[in-house]
Amino acid sequence: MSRAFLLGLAWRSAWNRRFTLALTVFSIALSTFMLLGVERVRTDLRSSFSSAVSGTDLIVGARTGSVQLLLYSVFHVGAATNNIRWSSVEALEQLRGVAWVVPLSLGDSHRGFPVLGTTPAYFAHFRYGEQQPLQLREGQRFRDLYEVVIGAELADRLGYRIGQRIALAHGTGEISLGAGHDDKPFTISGILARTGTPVDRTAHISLEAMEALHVDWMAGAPLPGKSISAEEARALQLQPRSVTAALVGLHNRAAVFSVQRQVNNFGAEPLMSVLPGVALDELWDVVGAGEQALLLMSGLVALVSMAGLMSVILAGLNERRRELAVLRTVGASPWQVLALLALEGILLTLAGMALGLLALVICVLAFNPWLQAHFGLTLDLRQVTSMQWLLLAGLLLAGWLASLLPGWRAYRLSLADGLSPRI
Amino acid sequence: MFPPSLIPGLATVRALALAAGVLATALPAAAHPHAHTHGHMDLAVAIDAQTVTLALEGPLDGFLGFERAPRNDAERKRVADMVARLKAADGLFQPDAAAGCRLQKVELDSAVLGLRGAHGHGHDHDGKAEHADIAVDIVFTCTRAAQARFIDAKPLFEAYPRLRSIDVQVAAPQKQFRRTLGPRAARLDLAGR
Repeated sequence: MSRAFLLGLAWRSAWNRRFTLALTVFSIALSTFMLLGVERVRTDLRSSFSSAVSGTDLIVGARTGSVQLLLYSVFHVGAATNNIRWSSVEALEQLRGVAWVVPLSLGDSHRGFPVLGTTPAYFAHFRYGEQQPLQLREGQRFRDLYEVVIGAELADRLGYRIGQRIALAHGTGEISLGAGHDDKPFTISGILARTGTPVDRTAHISLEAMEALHVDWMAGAPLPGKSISAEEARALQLQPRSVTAALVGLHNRAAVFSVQRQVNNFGAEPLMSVLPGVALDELWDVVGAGEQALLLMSGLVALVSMAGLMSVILAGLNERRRELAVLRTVGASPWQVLALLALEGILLTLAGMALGLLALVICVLAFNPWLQAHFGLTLDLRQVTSMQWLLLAGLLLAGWLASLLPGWRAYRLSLADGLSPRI
Repeated sequence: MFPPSLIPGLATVRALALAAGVLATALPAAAHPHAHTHGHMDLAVAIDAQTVTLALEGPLDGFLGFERAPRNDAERKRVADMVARLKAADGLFQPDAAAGCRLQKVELDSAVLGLRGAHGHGHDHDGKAEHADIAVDIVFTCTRAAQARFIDAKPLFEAYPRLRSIDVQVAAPQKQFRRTLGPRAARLDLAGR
């Protein structure tokens, strides 16, 4: 029996069953979409995590967990248990091998966005991603005491422009608890270019401004009957007494462990220092467990749709017994029947995967701006991970095997019972 | 509409990231190197243009099976064997041949055994402590340190079966990261990423 004739028949048979088959293709497409989508999010979440800080050799803070120190100093999540003294920051600068120190002071917020008090050195030394420096989208760095440089996300979300005046709030809550710094408004002097890191959500002021905000405060509340106006505060000594943490850069990257040892054994107060890259890996160890669960879930989805594929073909097989038996009587060998079914299975799987991929590409393109704005996550379609190739190959193999089982059944049954008149 | 299958995924991931913040407080801090867990050691690897420095630190138990000054000839021999073996550190840690490394020096530091390194580690035990640690500083001089793709610690795990895991912090010129080595995964991968 000629191959072309057989294929033509198979095609017409498939066309006859197009609605069932379309459903199968759709379920394969869905599992392809899920598996690859989750894998994509997983990989890119990791890289956007680790791009949050680079070029910093050590983060120094009060003794706490290393992940916690990373979370509050870089991601502005959670709070420090203790501050470190300004004298300690000065001592850090004197350590052998230390090139620069950028002090960070946290604790205030503006409408739910964190406020970071720092020095101009922050803009010079802070790096993200692949050693990229911070750049201003418009305006300039803070020069005056009451100037603030805001991240791109903060600016876009609240619709802020250069020159606008904003008030900062005490504490980190979304809702101001009545205790604000309304008496000392800040002027927006600059807006940073988007980085895809926590910097985008942060308002940056000088350490002195942070101090000025709190000169008439004591123990977290305004001092009653004692109010120092914005102009009066300028005249005061605004040297900070303590900061939350400090970023440290070294002349020689490899000296990091000896500097770390010196910091951890610091005499004047208990300090600790972590390597940001190492702390990120530790953080990922925790998140990674959930991430594995996510991958497992999408694996199960794939399994379910493979089972669906198999059941659709098996169910169709009962209807097709006659068809296959007729094929056998007109001269098709059992092998040809098997090959036909296997071919149909692999084509279905391929079509489903192609559809799923297409859907993924469209979704990523369509929703990337939204993801970037809400999660600081950029999905990169161009970098296909080895895991993704593996997943694709696995899907193809599974789809093909799923279609082989019914094929094998058809191979055994095709002539035996298909021609009997009862159906 | 947003594809429904992606939203729960993302929400979960975000929740996980937040959960990590909560869990973080429960995590052991790698920066406190003095937790004393038998079978476990900490290793810091610094890679420079010309040198690869390894600082291994952990309970003496991992090397000796006891943690005090030797009391008889058999124990003294064990200590002497350990010192000799650690001094020949290139037999325990083998950097990628592509880096062209050779062992420059090894310093041992263990108060209980009366071994003092040149710079000390500032963790003198007063002798009454129940447990005792050892610190081993190893320096390799290399012609092309940056070319090293791995450091093999398999001989170390073979020589000391009591050693079950090593937490490794790596500071290379372009990246910092963390790895865990064990008898089954004894090769420290420096490439990748």
